[in-house]
Formats: sequence, C-alpha cells, structure tokens
Amino acid sequence: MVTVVTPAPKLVGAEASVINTGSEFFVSMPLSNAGAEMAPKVFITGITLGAAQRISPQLFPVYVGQLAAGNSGVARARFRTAGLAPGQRLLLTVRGTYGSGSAQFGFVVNRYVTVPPITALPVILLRARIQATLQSAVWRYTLFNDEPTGSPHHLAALSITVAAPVSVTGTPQGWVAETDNFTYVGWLAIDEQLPYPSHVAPGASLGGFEIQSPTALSESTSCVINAWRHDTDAAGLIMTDLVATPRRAI
Amino acid sequence: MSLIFRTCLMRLFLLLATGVSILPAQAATITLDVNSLSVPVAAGNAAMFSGTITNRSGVTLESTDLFLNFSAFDFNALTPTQVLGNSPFSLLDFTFIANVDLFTVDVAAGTLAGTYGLQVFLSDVSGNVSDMTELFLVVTNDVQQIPEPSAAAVVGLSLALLVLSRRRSSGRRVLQQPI
Repeated sequence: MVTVVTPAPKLVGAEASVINTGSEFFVSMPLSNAGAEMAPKVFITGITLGAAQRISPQLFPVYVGQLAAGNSGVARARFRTAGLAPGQRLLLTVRGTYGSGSAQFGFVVNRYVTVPPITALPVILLRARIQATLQSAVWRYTLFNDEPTGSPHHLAALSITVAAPVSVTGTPQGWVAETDNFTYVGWLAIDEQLPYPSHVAPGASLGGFEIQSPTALSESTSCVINAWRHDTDAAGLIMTDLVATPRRAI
Repeated sequence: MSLIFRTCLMRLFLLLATGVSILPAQAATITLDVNSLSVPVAAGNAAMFSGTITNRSGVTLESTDLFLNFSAFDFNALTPTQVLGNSPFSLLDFTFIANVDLFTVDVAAGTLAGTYGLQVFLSDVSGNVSDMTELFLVVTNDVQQIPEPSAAAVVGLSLALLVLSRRRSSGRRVLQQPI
C-alpha cells in the first residue's frame, strides 16, 4: 500500500545541552528541519520539562526563524531544579507554530534529557533580572540587581532586541536611551566617574524604562544587562535573558 | 570521435544510469506504524494512539531513547502529547514492539466538527528518523442539535403576533377618541 503524505516540514530535536547548577537547570536544544519542505516563520509557543517549573522564557512566543530543509535553530529555557534528581530522565517538549497568515500550523518536538550532576556554569553570570509589564501598547521594564550586598557589580546598561517599530517613551533619571526604532533599544547610565550614583546597586531596583509600539501583542526577545565594577572601575559581569517586547508582524 | 566509440560511451552511460536508478532507496532504520490512521473523537475529549515500533538501528533502544514529533496540525484544535516512554521497555536491534502506547491528542472544547490532519514521525537518540505518517481525527460535536421550527409554527407565531399587535393598536385608538 502506498501512503501519500501531504508535504510538511519535519522538525526534530537534536541532543540537548544541559547544565544543572543545583538551583537552575539550563537546557538548549537544536531544532532542525529534517524534511524537504521549508518551515517559514517558526515560533516556539511553549517549552516544558516534565513537571519542572520554568523560569525563562516567562512569555511566549519566541521567534526561531525561517527553517529551510536542513537548517536549524535553537530552543532555550531555564527551569527550577526543585524536585529534580541527577540521573532522572525527563521529557523535554517544545511546542510551536510555523507558517503565516491563514496557513499557520502547529508542531511539537520531544526529546528525553537526563538531569546531569550539579556543576558550576562555565562562565559566571551577573545575578540580575528584568521584569516587564504591558499596558496599552506601552512596555515598562524594571531592573533588579540580585547580587549580594557588597558585590562590586552595579547595573550600568540595558539593551533589548526588538523586532517591531518602537519609540522610547521613558528613561530613568541619570540614564540615556539609544535606539534605531526597529531592531534595538539601549539604555546607559550617564555617570562618568565614581561613585556613579545612577548605577543600580546590589539589592536595589530601577524602573522607568519604557517603549511604545503600534502593536499591542508581545513576544520574547533577547536582552542583556551589563554591570560596572565599582572596585576596579572596569566593565563587570553580564546577564542575558529573554524579555517581552512588541511582537513582529507575521 | 568515431561512431563506435560514441555508441559505446552512450551504452556505458545508459548502463550506469540504469544501475543508479535500480539501487534500492535507503530504508528507515526505525519505523513507526500507528494502529489507527483515522480516529473519531468528540470535541473536548482526547484520543489515544498506539502502534508498532521496529528497531533496525543497529543498537538496543530504550523507551526513553525514542521521541515523537508532530507537525502540520491545527494548533487551535489539537494538542498532541507523547506518552511513549512512560512505560519502560528495551527494544533489541532487529526486533519490534506492537501495541505500545504512543501519544494522546486532546481536542479543544468547542472545536468545529470536521476532519483534522496531523503528521507524526519517530526519532531516536542517534538521529535516526522514521517516515512521516499522516493521521486524521474525525471530530464530532456533542452539542445537542436545536431543531429548526417548522414552517407551520413560524406562520402560527406570526399570526399570533399580528393579532396581538392589532389588539394593542385598537386599544390605543379607543383612548384617543373624544368623550
């Protein structure tokens, strides 16, 4: 019997890179198109790892890209390790969509991953985070410096990748914004010498970062938080994550 | 170039071309055969799919070495979830396991009745992939059908409304008459 299957992309996961820090579980899985058909405009709409609680991305969708036959993208997420034990096998499930307009379809990719022994991250990351809120097409961001008291790392810059037209509508006092209104928005503390009063000290937070866009929908895009070392007066650690920004047109 | 040489060259080319064309296509090293390719399911319910997995990968595969991947489905209506691996088994090379639970598909409540397609294939830890299988979920609505009113009932209701309207109208006229 010959079975004729409607041509469709064949999205499949490859071996995932996993790191267990004891408090967080980092997972990064290549997502490739093993079929002959193009997978246009691939978005991830959900990532689960067994019953583990996800820390990041906080919001979906996350854009992967156009996956032509043989091409690949990446699905990344962070989970809490509560309840996870080294050696345990958990099902990593990535859900998403491809296509555009009225021709959008769903996909699901599964892969079992093994919880590895606890190890330190290969690079030390800045302990900082960003919180986003959306109201009436205005995205507001608050920076949190989660470094321990006495840490020399003070937050000095924030940059966000965007994929839709934006304008900067809010900048905290002592900071300056820079944007091309289409691909990035950056904020930088304008202090030029110690004690850098506009930097965000360990344990402190700073709001007032705002952007506006014609769309009212969100997606997650990458952001980078930079610190400045107040002990050596030099560039400090960085933190990269995903944050809610205006959603691109599809 | 002589005619004989050209003829020989042409024959050699044809022979090579024929040889290439009759080479068998590379068989998938893992195969997936789903028991039912078309399953009826009511909106708001889930369907369970089971099937046969054949291992010709050259190594023993554990149940958690096998992954199901889905595409080409209506994500507003269908939510496929892998259950393969929940029950452990080992699959030696050149063996198969039949009637193993593979996945469920939840059909969202309120999904319109109709036939919904879904494609699934199997992959393993070594990067082997099976052929794609296309499945169909025939979604039915369990919502009770409200019968259309008959033509006689519609005519009767219209007449009743007309009579009521005339009575109200005549009532108003009486009130407007001078005493």
